[in-house]
Amino acid sequence: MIISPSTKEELGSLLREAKEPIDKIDLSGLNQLIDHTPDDMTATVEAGMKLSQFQDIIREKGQWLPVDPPNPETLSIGKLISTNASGPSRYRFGTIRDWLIGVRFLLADGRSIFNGGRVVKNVAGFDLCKLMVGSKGALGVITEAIFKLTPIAEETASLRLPCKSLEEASANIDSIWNSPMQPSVLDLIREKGKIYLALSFNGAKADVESQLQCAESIGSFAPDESSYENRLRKRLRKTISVLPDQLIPTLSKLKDVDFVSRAGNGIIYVEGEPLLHARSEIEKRVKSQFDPKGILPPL
Amino acid sequence: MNKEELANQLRSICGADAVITDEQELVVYECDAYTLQKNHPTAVVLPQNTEEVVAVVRLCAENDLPIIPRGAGTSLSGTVLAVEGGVMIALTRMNRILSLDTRNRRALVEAGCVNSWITQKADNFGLFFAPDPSSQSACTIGGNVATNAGGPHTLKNGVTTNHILGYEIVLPDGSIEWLGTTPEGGEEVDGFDLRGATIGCEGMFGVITRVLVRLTKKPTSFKTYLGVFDSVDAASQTVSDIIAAGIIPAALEMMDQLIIRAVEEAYHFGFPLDAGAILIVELDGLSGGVGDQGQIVETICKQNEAREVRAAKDEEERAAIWKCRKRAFGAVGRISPNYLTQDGVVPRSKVPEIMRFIKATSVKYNLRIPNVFHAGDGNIHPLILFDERKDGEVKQALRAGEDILNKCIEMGGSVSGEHGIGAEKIDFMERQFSKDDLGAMQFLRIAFDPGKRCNPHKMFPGSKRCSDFAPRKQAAA
Repeated sequence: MIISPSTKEELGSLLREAKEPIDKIDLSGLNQLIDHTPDDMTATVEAGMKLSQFQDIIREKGQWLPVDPPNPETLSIGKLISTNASGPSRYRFGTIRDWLIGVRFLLADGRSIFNGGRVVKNVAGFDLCKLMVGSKGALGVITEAIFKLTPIAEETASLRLPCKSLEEASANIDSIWNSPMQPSVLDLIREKGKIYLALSFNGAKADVESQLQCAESIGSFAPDESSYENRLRKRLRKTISVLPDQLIPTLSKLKDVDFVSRAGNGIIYVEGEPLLHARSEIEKRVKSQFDPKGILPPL
Repeated sequence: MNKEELANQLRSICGADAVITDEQELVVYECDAYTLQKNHPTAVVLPQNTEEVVAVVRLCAENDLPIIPRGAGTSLSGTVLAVEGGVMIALTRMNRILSLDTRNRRALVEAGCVNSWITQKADNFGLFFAPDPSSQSACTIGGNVATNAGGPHTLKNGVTTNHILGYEIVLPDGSIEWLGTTPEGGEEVDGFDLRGATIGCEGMFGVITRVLVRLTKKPTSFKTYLGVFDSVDAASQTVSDIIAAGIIPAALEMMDQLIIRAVEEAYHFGFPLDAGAILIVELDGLSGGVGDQGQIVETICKQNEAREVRAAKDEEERAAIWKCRKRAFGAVGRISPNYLTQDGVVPRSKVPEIMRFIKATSVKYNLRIPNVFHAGDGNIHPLILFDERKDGEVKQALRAGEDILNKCIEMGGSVSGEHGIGAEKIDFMERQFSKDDLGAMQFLRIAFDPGKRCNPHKMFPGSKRCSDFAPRKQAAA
């Protein structure tokens, strides 16, 4: 069954009446910005709005939600949260779990639930925001999100450094890791046999400049405009997560395949289907509490 | 099972010196830093390892006894109160740092490990553990996780939940779960983020035994300013202007006149006694940006008619400023026999408004209310001063606190930014959340603890109170 409600109320009644599992919920009708208070650095937005549109609106006031997953033009706020989608800036800014401060969602029985709030620090009650992040829609249908935001930095610079081998890349990563540099992106990519490091700096002008100088002492970086993330991650759907110091040993075992990797996080994206792990007993109990009839997608 | 049998069984699990049942000794465990309600647990047990915790938890499960996990007891909301007795599991003997992985920037510690020990050990490697609650020299990591502890430096770095990778928890049925990233595993974990969902659970989901924390690279440069203002309004405006300028300081703290006087009397830092408010603004990062942003901060302070902007000239002076700030609560003991502290949050642009409301509340109840708080986060800490020996003052203080928290809710905020709900703020939950909102929280709880035996009578409306609940006094850490 596929449902495409245009209001939260309609979604509620469709859920209440549902007798069979719902395969797809199209929330593109719920796509409004509800509030952006630049002085508070927070914004409230409906789940159907696309991430790029949301970023465009808040950029006008010099702020952004510091996540940069691939293809933000087609990624809705709801899906951003339910898949915990992330991009290169995760090294510096974390993922959406670090920026979601409030959420409204509908339970499988149609009841509307609010958790968190509009304030950046809040420990009243359990943190269901975190529970919704990455939950794949299994526990409820997200209709509205509240984010904390951050100012757009004075300066951003993206660089690329070709590497002859994984060994050379490894040495460069270690140099950056042990340097005073604080890059916002530290990615290692292999595309059609070519290996390169991608580095971004993001901050006060003086800091970006001093870090660019520092980078020069490591290698001949060139400006990077390649948007490898959008291009490659469409097909690199399998995630491998290891300790950061196990990145190169893990990549070495991959033979010659393409990859995008977050060197600072130990995350590797390669071709293949996402791995599904067995669900723990506690996860099953959480699922059955929130969705006893199994109306919503399985985890 | 009577108390004597219980004590014997606990002794057989953890050893004779690890069980407390003597009423005189139990006094230590009758409350945390929230002292308006007190009750003795039936027994306190101090296990040495996860296996002992499991055995104790199983014993309690078999005998349908409440379990109350406890760290150092520095919590401020009655979070570790044994409302109806039960077995208190104190983690203070499980306090080791098990491993420090500097390359991967993580540390594995036992739940009873004191917060500041991690940074002390990581400092040599240019790393630190970011959450820094004011009680960090005593409070434990397990407690930090249970309450999602904050601190002055959360503005830029985030709170505890942003720095915990994973942990081991013994569920109320005695089973062991590892939630989140494992010590040998990568950070990305498939499935529900139960690690995140249980941080801040106030000990209601089980007993946390080991924690994997994220370490952060130490900034290479700091700049710490003291801005002296004639009024709270001017200082509040400065906070808004700094944020509006696109600067996120590491910390942005405010102290008002009453607290300045108390702190000065106690620690003799050299604060001007006639100042209306002092802002502590700390910038960190690389030296270039810190220098440039520092100049902007100075300019903003002066535009708001700061009487003086002083920069800490070295690490020693910086440490002295933070010592004053973190011990401010303690200094209040010198100017009032009792005080009640609140922990509300408002959207940061509403700080001036809530400060005016607090001032009006002070006049209304004829009670002094000094303020020392995380202005950059909108997290207020009014300290309502009273004298329990004076007729009716306790009640007046409680009413003043209630008015302030109700105002926080009305302004779109929250009744707690970092101290938690515990036994203290149960009544506010129904004002901040709907019945369904609270019901959804209970779904999560029941998945972990179907019998609601783990730290019962906290957070949710309808919980029991201690039989001797009588508004008397409130000490605080």
